[in-house]
Amino acid sequence: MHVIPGDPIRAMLGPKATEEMVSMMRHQLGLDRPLLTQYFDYLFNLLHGDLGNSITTRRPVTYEIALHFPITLQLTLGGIIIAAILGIYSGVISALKENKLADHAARIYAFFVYSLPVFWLGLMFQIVFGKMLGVLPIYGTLDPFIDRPPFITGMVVVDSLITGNLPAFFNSLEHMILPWLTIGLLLSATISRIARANMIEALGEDYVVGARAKGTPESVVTYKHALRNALLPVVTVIGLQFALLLGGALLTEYVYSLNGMGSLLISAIYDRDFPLTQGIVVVFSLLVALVSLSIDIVYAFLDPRIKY
Amino acid sequence: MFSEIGRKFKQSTKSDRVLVSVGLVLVVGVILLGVFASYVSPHGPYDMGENRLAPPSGQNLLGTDYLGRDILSRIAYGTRISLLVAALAASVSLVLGAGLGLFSGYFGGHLDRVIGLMMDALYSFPVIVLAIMMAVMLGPGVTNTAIGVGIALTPSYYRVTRSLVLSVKERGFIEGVRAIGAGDLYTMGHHILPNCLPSLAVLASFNMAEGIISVAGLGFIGLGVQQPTPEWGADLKIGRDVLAYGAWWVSLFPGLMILVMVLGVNMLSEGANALFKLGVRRR
Repeated sequence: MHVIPGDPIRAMLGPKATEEMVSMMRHQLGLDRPLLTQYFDYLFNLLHGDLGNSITTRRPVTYEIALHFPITLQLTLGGIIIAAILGIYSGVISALKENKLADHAARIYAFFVYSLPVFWLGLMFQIVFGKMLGVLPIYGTLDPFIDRPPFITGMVVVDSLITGNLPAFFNSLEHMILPWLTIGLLLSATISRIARANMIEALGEDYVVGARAKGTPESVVTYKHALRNALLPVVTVIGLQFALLLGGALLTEYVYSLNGMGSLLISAIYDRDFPLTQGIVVVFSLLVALVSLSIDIVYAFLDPRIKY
Repeated sequence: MFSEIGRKFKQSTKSDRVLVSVGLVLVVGVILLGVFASYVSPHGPYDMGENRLAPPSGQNLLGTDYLGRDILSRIAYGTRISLLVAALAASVSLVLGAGLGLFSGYFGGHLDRVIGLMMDALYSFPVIVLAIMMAVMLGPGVTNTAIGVGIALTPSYYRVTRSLVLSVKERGFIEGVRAIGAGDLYTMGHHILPNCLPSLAVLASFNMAEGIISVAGLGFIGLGVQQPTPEWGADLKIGRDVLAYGAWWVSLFPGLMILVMVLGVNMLSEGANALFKLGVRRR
């Protein structure tokens, strides 16, 4: 990152800064030491949970990230829920009506949605629901004239609910509908495919034949026996697609001007704020690793056949 | 080889055939649009007009943007840029990924472990974040975007190539060839590589879709191809800027092009994957 043009020091001090001021600032921030020293210092600090200070705001990077992370979490969680509902529903219907019209329609839908650029979908939603129909807000997490709830979890929807601030709660929900739909649709396509494949496989299993032979009503066969097994891999998919989800969240935040980590990353890049950019990327990679690990654990939990 | 393709085609399921056919039509259609852009466009992509932010009309079939440029012309010429950058990125990632995978799988040992570690780290990243990082390091512009996205897409080629190399090694004829005295490079190039080609081709088409979206995504954020060069993503950025004016046509059409192209590529690669029973997994 140090090779790109654009000096953040000069950007910080303004056009009137003299050479002296620039080199003094550089020394103060420790940016004039050899690159290798800076790197090892960074790693050392990292192990102590110190990601350095943002060049633009002078506050700790961890603080900035903690401030913006909850909004990304809010977006991601909502998106996963919508994706799970849409995906599992269409996948199961598809499997139950295999090779009939509903199945083909659902598969085409999944294919189509999978190929959509997420930022274009967001833009289209904004145009249709925001501009043309004027029914939903399209920017930010809350209208400016509404009382903000205090920062408890950082997720505006949750905080407003906890503090009983109903106007804020409904308003923030309104703001999140489109972003949630945007990112949820993207993920639902993959979930739909996997759910369908697993459901078909589960329905062909011996125990299903056995249950039918026993005389169990078809609905019980479907829901109690086959569905449960088909659900498990969906959890894994969410874990594996987490990288895709984060990327989509980043773009969605940019489109809807939500102040989450994605927007922070983009503005940090534009401001040439190295520590902040690096910090966010480090956190991203830690997140992906953490989620992968958690998914493995959750899977072992859900499937009694797996023992570690 | 073509008779084999024909045979596989007849043996395939109907849905696979539909996938490949429709996909092929879409992809070829878009490519032709790019090739014959000058015949399709009534104006040039850089020609500014008096008619700013005009909705679709007889004069400008798809409307104009805030500089009075014809949208139809821009997306037609934009096809060339978008496809070129995506193809370049695909080539970079193919050569790098397959090359590294070849060496890694063939020689094994410490080299394999080190490269593998780097690739795993890259692989777990969202492609768009990697692409953004690359764009930051290299700067904006056509070639840099191609290189950046290319590097971001490398890990999947690495993985596929490496596992193919390992499975070829299992089959033992590598030892035979080397016993006769074949050198390392010759073995890799002449014996191992041809086995990898079909799977790599399908993977290339999967990644082409991702490449197109990544390039457009970078353009949308403003880190990729820059104005005034016509590129679908960069033009979507304009669409976002003029959102407040209700100019829906500026956003709709470039995005539609991306959708059509990506849909076509996805259908083609899914169909081909199933058709030739290659079992290549997308990320």
